[in-house]
Amino acid sequence: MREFDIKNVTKLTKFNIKNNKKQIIGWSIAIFSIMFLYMILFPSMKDIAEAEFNAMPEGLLELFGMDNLTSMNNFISYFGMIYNIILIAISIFAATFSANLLYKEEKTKTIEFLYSLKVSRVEIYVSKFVTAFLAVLAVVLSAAISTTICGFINGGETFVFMDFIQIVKISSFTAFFFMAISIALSGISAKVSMSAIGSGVVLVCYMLGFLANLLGTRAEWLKYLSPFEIFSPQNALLFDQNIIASLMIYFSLFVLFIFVGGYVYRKRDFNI
Amino acid sequence: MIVVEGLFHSYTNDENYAVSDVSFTVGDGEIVGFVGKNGAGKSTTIRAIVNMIFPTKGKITVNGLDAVQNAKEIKGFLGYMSSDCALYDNVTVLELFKFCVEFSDVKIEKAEELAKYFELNLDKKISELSLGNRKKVSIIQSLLKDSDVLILDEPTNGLDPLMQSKFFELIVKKKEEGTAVFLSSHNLSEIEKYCDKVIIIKDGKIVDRIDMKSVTIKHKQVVNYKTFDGEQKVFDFDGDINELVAELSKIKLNSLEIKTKTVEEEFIKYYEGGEQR
Repeated sequence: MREFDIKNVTKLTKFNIKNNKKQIIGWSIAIFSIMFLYMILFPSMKDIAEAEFNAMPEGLLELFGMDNLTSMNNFISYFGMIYNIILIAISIFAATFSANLLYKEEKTKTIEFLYSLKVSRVEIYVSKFVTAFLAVLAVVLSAAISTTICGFINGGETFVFMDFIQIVKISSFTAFFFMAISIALSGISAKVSMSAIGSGVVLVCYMLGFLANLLGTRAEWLKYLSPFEIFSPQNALLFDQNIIASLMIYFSLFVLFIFVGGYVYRKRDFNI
Repeated sequence: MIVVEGLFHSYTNDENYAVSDVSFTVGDGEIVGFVGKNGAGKSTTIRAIVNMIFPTKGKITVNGLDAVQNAKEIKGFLGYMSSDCALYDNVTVLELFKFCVEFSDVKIEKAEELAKYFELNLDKKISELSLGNRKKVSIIQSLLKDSDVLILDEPTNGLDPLMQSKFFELIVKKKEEGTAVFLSSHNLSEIEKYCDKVIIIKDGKIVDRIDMKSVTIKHKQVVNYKTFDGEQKVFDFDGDINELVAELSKIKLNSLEIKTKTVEEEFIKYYEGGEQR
């Protein structure tokens, strides 16, 4: 008997989404609203921020990646700046939601019900991965749709749709990467709350990027450890050799994490 | 048929085992009871059979198929009910059953019939159900498939007596159809009444096996008497009853009770940590 049947994965995924729809819809609406609020205010923020930024030390602006004041005059650059921050929230959602998909099954013992059905561990694991992927995609798309609406309303000529898509594609990979880490962690063990560990990884990676900016050339290598930094909207627009190489490395890690998590999940006792 | 051979499972190391050298067989058309204190190793054994955990040592086969290698295939003909009745709270009972039947050849009408039999409201959300009704959902879910093997972990705990009786009616019917039924329970009277064999587990090891058809109880009688002096004695007796009466006739008795011991009373000693056979 085959251990993997796509029909079973589809059925399980549908059920997972049904069980978690409130959380997915809630986060999508929240991210949509926050993005909309920021992006609709683009014309007025442009004037206010310019005045505010002029009063701030240049070093501080550099630290937060806001040293380029032209960013406030350009819809895409303004979006990049806001999205870089929103991505932290989306990544935390990706990490906690993904980790809980497997962890909660064992913590609440519903895995005993689920695994009594004619399904394999691989099918359960893959369905959790697909569910997490679709949930993160829904939240990312809600941010993108919200921005697109605002872009057409007040972006004017500075709303370059292809640049916008490029940022969404590359920078959003950060959230999917943290999703993969959390899925893998909860596949490996359900003895501790992997959502807390997943969120911790997100914050550590963000801090590494922050530290890389703070130390400048003295610790430039640190930025390669932070997807937030390496796949920042500015770098996404650049899309140079560095970004392509980083994308390949991070994507390989993404695949590796998913496989390792699945491999261990097939072989380990459920923590019930 | 379930065959468990030399099952050993440890969550930490070899010294701290959950079960050790557990071997037994549950034949087709047989109800086998699994009895033991909480933490004795009942659920660990059951979870190893249904591949929730992996045997550290030993082998388990269900209808000739290896429980680890063929876990998915086995679940095609194995109905399992866990003791916790952990279910998804966000869905209705009907939605849950619809989800279950998607993985088998059974139609939803069977779930509806069973729900009617157990007087269960299909439109209620799982989160709104009482423990007894959650138990019914778990029972129905385990009976939905056309199972050759049924594994039930404390199935009647939380059910009212009428539902317990209805449940066992179905189980006996399944047995008559040739299903191998393995159930753990703390309800010793139901074990005595419905099981063909009983396996007793204590501290992770099987300490007794009782064939209910030819059951022999070591101490058949419990003697309880009180003298006019206020002295009271209670003891087990398994000798010649005439000798007992002759002995008792020498004492000036105020009251005397000689009671035949039930299998249920015999099981109790394993809960009390008393003697082993």
